Amino acid sequence: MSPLSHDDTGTTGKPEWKIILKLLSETDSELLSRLSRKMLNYLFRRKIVKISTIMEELLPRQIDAVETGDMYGENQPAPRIDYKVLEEITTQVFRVAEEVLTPEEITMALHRWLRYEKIRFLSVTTGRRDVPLGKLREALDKYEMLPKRSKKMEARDRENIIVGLTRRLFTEDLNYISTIRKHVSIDDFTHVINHTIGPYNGNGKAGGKAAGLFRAEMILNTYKKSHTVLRNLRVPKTWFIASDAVLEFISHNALEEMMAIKYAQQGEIRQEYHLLEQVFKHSVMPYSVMVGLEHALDYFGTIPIIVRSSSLLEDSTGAAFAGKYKSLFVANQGSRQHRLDALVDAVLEIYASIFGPDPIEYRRERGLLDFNEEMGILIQEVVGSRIGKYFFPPFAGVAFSRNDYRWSPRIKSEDGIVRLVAGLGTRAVDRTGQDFPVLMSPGQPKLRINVTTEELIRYAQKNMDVLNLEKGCLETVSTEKMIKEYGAKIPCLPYLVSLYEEGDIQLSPGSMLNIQKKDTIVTFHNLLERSPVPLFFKTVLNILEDEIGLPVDIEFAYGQDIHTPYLLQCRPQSVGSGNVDTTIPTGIANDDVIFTANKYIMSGACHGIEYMVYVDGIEYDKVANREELLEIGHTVGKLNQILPHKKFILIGPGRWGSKGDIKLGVHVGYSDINNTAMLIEVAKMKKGQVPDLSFGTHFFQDLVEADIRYLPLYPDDDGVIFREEIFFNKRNYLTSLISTAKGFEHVIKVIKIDDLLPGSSLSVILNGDTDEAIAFLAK
Amino acid sequence: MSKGFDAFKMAQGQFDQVAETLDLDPGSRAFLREPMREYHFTIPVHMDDGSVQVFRGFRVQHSDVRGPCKGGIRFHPDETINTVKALATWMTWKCAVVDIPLGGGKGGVICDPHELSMREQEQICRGWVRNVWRNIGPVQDIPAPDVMTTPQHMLWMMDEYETLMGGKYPGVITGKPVGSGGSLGRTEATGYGAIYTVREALKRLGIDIKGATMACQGFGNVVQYAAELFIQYGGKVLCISCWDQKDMKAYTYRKMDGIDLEFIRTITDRFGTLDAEKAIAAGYEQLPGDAWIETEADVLLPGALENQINADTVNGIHAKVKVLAEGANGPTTPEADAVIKEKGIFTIPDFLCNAGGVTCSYFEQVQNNMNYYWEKDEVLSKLDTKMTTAFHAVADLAESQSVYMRDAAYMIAIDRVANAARLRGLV
Repeated sequence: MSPLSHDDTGTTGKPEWKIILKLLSETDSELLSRLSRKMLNYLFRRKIVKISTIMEELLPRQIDAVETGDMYGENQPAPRIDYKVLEEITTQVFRVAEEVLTPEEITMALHRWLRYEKIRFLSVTTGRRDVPLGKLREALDKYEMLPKRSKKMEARDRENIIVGLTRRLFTEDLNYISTIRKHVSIDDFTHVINHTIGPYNGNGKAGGKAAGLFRAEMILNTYKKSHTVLRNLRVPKTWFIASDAVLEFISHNALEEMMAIKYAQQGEIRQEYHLLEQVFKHSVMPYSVMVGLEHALDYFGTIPIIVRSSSLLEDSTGAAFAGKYKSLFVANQGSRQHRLDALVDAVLEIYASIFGPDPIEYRRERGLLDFNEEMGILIQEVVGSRIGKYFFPPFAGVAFSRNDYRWSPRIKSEDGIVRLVAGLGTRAVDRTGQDFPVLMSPGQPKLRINVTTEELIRYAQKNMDVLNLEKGCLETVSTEKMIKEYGAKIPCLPYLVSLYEEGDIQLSPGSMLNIQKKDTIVTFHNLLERSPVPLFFKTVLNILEDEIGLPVDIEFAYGQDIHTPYLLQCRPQSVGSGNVDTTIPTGIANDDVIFTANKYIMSGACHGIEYMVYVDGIEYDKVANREELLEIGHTVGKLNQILPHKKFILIGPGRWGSKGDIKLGVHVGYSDINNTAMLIEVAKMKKGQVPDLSFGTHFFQDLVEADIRYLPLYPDDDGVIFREEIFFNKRNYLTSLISTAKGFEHVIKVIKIDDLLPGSSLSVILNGDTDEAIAFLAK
Repeated sequence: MSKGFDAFKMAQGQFDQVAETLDLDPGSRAFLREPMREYHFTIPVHMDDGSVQVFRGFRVQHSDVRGPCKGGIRFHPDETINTVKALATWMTWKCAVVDIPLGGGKGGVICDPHELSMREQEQICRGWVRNVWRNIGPVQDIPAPDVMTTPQHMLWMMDEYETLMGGKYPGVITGKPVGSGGSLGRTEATGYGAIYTVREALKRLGIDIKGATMACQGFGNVVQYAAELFIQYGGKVLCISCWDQKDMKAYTYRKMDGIDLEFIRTITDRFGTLDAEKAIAAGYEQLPGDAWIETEADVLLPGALENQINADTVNGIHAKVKVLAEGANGPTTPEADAVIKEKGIFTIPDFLCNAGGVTCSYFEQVQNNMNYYWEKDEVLSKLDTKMTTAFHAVADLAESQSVYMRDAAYMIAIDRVANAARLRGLV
């Protein structure tokens, strides 16, 4: 029988596997050795006892050697065995295989492993830590060209390649790698590398933002089959610029001295920065990057694009860098050259931002200054559509898997929070202080912050961010005017607005008939009540937090309708307005603790508090005269103007700002409290009942936008400390601050922290995860 | 025991004082100082999470001797029965002072809509009606929206009522949107109503409204429409005030030769904030929030907030001011009221001056009951007649008895209710 015969019966001649082995023993002993190791593992997996016995005979365990008196133990190198033993192992392995497996099985296994040899180059390339980008691209291209059948490999080989690719292109973070490898295929990386710009010999990565987005996309893709609501989830078309392209740019233009700027004085950095930005813009982009940018530009066509920073430090746990580096919109209109110039300009501006005073200060504060910062870049299509001369998505925003601003005790931290805006999401990401996104808790989408007509008007989104394609810039325009001008041409409009008629709000507008002639107000009512969007967010946030093992925040935008969500960014959730440490400190002396709390805590922290303003609940309750009750509110308002901004906290009974029975809460408006760092409502038991607190609902959105922390305090609860005596024992500064407040000293107490412990200030730490809060004196 | 502020005690105290002046008989006093009926009930609601929560609801009918009770339904977590009783009492006097054939009522539920989904709120509304449907209705008691209740709540309530009654009864509730049984002219009613009384007051004082001047606080619905009508009559509005969201404070915008209302409207967003730059560029002075009080004008019209004229501000009122028209609820504190009395400023008290709103609700109900709807002009002209007549009745009494306008208004209201009770043989 011919050696090429597929007859493995052994009746007509030598089985095929034996012919293969014979051939290899004569031509490629390395390959033969690899195959025998694979067979060894195969037999181990099949739990063949005999193979274990033979291996123990050929390779006695160390412990046996020690027992026989050969002196090498675990702290000494094991002796090298005779090479012949290795050859013997090969022989024995296949002998055992012949005994326990059918010839067909052995032949099939060998075929499989030999096929894998064809793609072994990929595991070799990806196994190299700093394989040049060009080489990696070539390897992946070669892999891509292989027929599907040839791409088959064992799971562990595939995983090994995936880990190598992840490490090379995204990050070496082990948590990241272990999360992503279950969800990703080699083809996914091929897609990334085909859209990556960088020097051929470069070894840069895509950076934090790109890594975060890639991981989220891959995780969510695997859930698409089981979760209908995710089926249409997309990620915008994206190109990546590798992080070392910036180094290439610097060296190409001999700007190396810039690398030392981070060690200069803050003032110096600030002074130099604007000049530096211009120097960058007038420098030359290296050829390899330029060619890549041209490809990217042709790929996008004339869709508006956004150029986003994706630095290696950015978006890793513990350093969110939220908003520290730039993201720039490029309208991408006009001639090809004009569009290319604009794109290059945006990339260079982001490169310059590495040397900006704010990011450097941020890194200095976090001990990250010595890290050799590289900056990857994402170039993404802007999600949206052209409406007249403008381009924008119908709505967009940010979503957090943990809700640090709960407006009702029915909302739990894990219910999450979404900030929704009409138009570009920039208004949801940043806090304008005067305009308001709609807040929604995906776990409790039906509980609204704003319910009355007045609230809905007061906290409605007045302006929206859009790209003006004619002027080629980002613009803020009046929402009302946009709707009046374009009406139902704006996608999803019935889901975004309610009608305002005759002083009332019709929450659910039936049709968009003549919408331009009507008064509209952004409420997102139908989106929250009659669309799959809340379920989408709940699903996405739950999955991502479960898989990543950390609270996450995402940025999103919607395309043409409410069924086409785009994921724009995903990173670990930072707290409050920045990256605030909310770990509850231990070991604080009892005398230094002013109060603690243990329910309905929303994460955040206030430090450096110099004054506490305390309205005594018992005395407030005794005030019989309405005028006096109002005057107490006015006095708090005056203190709010006099005391240093965000250096004081307000503590008072019941419902601050209550418009009902004013006896139940100090009668204040938002402007009476807008300078405080924190608002605390005390629910002290009265006649055996604990009163309900407002959770700040009277001005909740103002508190959110101004980053004023809110805390409900239940002094009668077990385990809660509330050192109320301080407010009676220490000097009350009320009348020395406001001479006309005489007569109210028994109700309003203004305590200076310095009087409690000279040289100290008050810190309040709120940790929503553990539901704990503590206020203590800190020097 | 808390000795705090109690609204119902205050309402009773006020009544006792007027009853004394009117020398009411003990039976009438005892009858009118307490509500005729109070309904207390529980509303169980299946919450979205599957649990059941039980809410407490109220309806207080203070008096129906002059007609079906009228008054809002409040959703508030701090609601107390005494607050509801006080508000029901005031509604009786308010309807009586404008001489509409309605009594006073008020209702509420202890709940916070901020903590309830729309479905849960709907259940509360329907549950409220299921408890009192036999005791409310177009000929018994007509609720309306109030604190934290909206036209949507009213429509759910109306729907539940009609389902139980098996018929169409839009007149069971007022404050409905136009197109669902609401009345035209509601937006203008309070502001226009105030100016009808101002027009009559100026006549009585011998001041020609053509060329008369007015300073306003606020620039919401009340002031916008009050200013509109005042200007139509040939008067000049010298200033308005509004909250500035950016600066977190109120400003007065003043133009001594008269504001251009249409222009001001074009630079004001619906959130009530005026574009300061454009106003200044157009020659308006931007002054502190309470500067309106000190403006030299014939008429002062506080139109938005409580307690604007108080001990601190009352002395700033310009000597030229002849009329104080209280478009807002409770704009004058008792201390300031005493000063105004002394100064001899002609006051049109809030519950008369801003009764245009409740009068329009009455018109809405009348239109519902006959299922025929008037054009806006007809609504406003009927409103004019009602307000003018009501004003003169109060002013005549004030003149003939030499009493302060606010006292006269209470006297006439309480007297009307007491008379009706007497004629029915109740007391």
